[in-house]
Amino acid sequence: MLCTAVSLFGYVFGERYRFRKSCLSKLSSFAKGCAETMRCSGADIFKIFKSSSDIGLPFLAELDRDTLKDKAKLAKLFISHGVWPDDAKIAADFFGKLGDGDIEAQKVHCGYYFGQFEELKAKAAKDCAEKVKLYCSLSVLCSIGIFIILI
Amino acid sequence: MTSDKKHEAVAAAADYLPQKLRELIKKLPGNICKNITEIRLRAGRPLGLTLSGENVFLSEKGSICYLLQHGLYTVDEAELKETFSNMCEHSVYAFSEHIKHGYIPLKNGCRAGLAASAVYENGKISNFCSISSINLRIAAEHIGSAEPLCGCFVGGLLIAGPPAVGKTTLLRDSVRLISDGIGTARRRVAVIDTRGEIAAVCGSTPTADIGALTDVISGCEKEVGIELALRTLAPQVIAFDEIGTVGEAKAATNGTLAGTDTLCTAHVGSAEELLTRPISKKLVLSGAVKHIAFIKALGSVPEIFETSALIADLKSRKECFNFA
Repeated sequence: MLCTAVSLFGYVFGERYRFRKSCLSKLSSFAKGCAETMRCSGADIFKIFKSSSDIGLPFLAELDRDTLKDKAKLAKLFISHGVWPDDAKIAADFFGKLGDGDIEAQKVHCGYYFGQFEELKAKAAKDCAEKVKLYCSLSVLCSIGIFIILI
Repeated sequence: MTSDKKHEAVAAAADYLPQKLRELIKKLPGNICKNITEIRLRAGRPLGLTLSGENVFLSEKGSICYLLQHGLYTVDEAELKETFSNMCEHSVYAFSEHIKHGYIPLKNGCRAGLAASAVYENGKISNFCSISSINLRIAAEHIGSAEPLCGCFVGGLLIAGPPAVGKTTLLRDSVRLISDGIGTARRRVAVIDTRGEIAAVCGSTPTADIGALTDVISGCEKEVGIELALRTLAPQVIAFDEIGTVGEAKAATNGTLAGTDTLCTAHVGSAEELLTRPISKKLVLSGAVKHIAFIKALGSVPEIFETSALIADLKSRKECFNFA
C-alpha cells in the first residue's frame, strides 16, 4: 500500500505540469480566436466569455465588469482555478485590457498575447516532459527503496 | 411612463456611472428622478442634470442645485473614462461604428452622446479620442402621448421640433397606436431604428411597447433600412427617427411612391424652418408627409399642420421664397 502511494505521488506532482500545459493551450486558443469572434459576432466580451466554456475555460463566465478593472482580483480568480501564479499575471494583463479599442487594436492585442501564451506553452510542454518523467522515476525508485527496506 | 418605471430607467442609466456618482443619483427622491431627462458628465466640470428641460447641478451631498456654487460634484477624467468603458460593456470594438457617429446606444433605449476629438482617416471620421463629455439621455415611454395625432397617420406624418422635446417618444407611441390599431386602422409598421432608441431591442426582443405588427431593423443606416424594409417586409408604414440626409428624404419619397406611409421626426426650431432646411423641405415638398406635428417644448401638445396648407401659407407670406 505504502509503495503504491509513493508511486502515485510522482504522478500527482506530474499532473500539475500537465494541467499547466493544457491551461496555457486553452488560453492560447482563446487569444487566437478572440479577435475573429469579436469581428464576426460583434458581441461584447462578456458574451464571448460566456460562450468560451466549449474551449474548456468555463471560469471566464465568472468575469464581470468589476473583476476586469482589478488586475490583482483577476489574477486571484485565475489562480483559484489552478492557473499558475506567473501565468495568471500574464492572463490578467491580457483579459484586463481586452475590449479596449477598436477591432484593429483588438487584433494586435490578441496577437501579442497569443504569442506570449504560445511561448509559455512551449516552455510548459518541455517542463512537463522533463518533470513528469523525473517525478515518476523518483517516486518509483522511492517505492522500490521502501519495498527493500520493508523486506 | 409611470414614475416607478422612470425611476427604474434613471437607476438603469446610473448603473453606467462610477460607484460614487451612481449612489448619489440613486439616492435622489422619486419626484426628482421622474423628471430627469439627461445626465451630463463633463471632464473637470460640475455634473449636470436636465430636469424638466432645465439645467441643474448635483452637489457632493447629492442635492439638486440651480446655481453654480461651491460644493458641486465635479466629474474628473477618470470617472469619464470609467463611464465610457461601462457604457461599452468593456467592448469598445463592438460600438466602434456607433462611436464614429458620436453616440453609444444603451439598454432600455437610452443613448449616450459623446463630445470628443475627432480622428480623421481618408477624409472621414474614423474614431473619437479624448472624450471630454458624455450626455446620458434617459429614454421616456409615454403611453398614449400620441393619441392626439391619431387622425394624421394616413398619408404620412412628420414630427418636428427642437432637440429634447420628446419627438422620439411621440414617434414610438405613434408606432404603437398604428401597429395595434388604436384610434386608427391597424397596419404593419417597419421601424428603422438606427440608434436603437425607438424599439430599444435587447437581444431579439424590443423592450419598448411598439405594438403587435411592428418589425424592427436596428443599427442600420436609415436610407439602406428603408430600401431593405420595402423589399423584404412589405410594410404599410415606415417609421424612422431624425431625418438627416437628402438620401433619407429620397428613400422616404420612394417608400411613398411604393404605397407606404412615412412616419418620421426632424430637428427644426419652428414650423417655418421646415421649409428653409433643405432636407425637411425636400421631404415636405415631395408629398411624402401629409401632416406635420410640431412640438414647441417638452410636454406640450403638438400643433398639427396640413402640409399643403403650410406650404400655401408660407408662400403667401414669403412670395420671394424659393419653392423650386
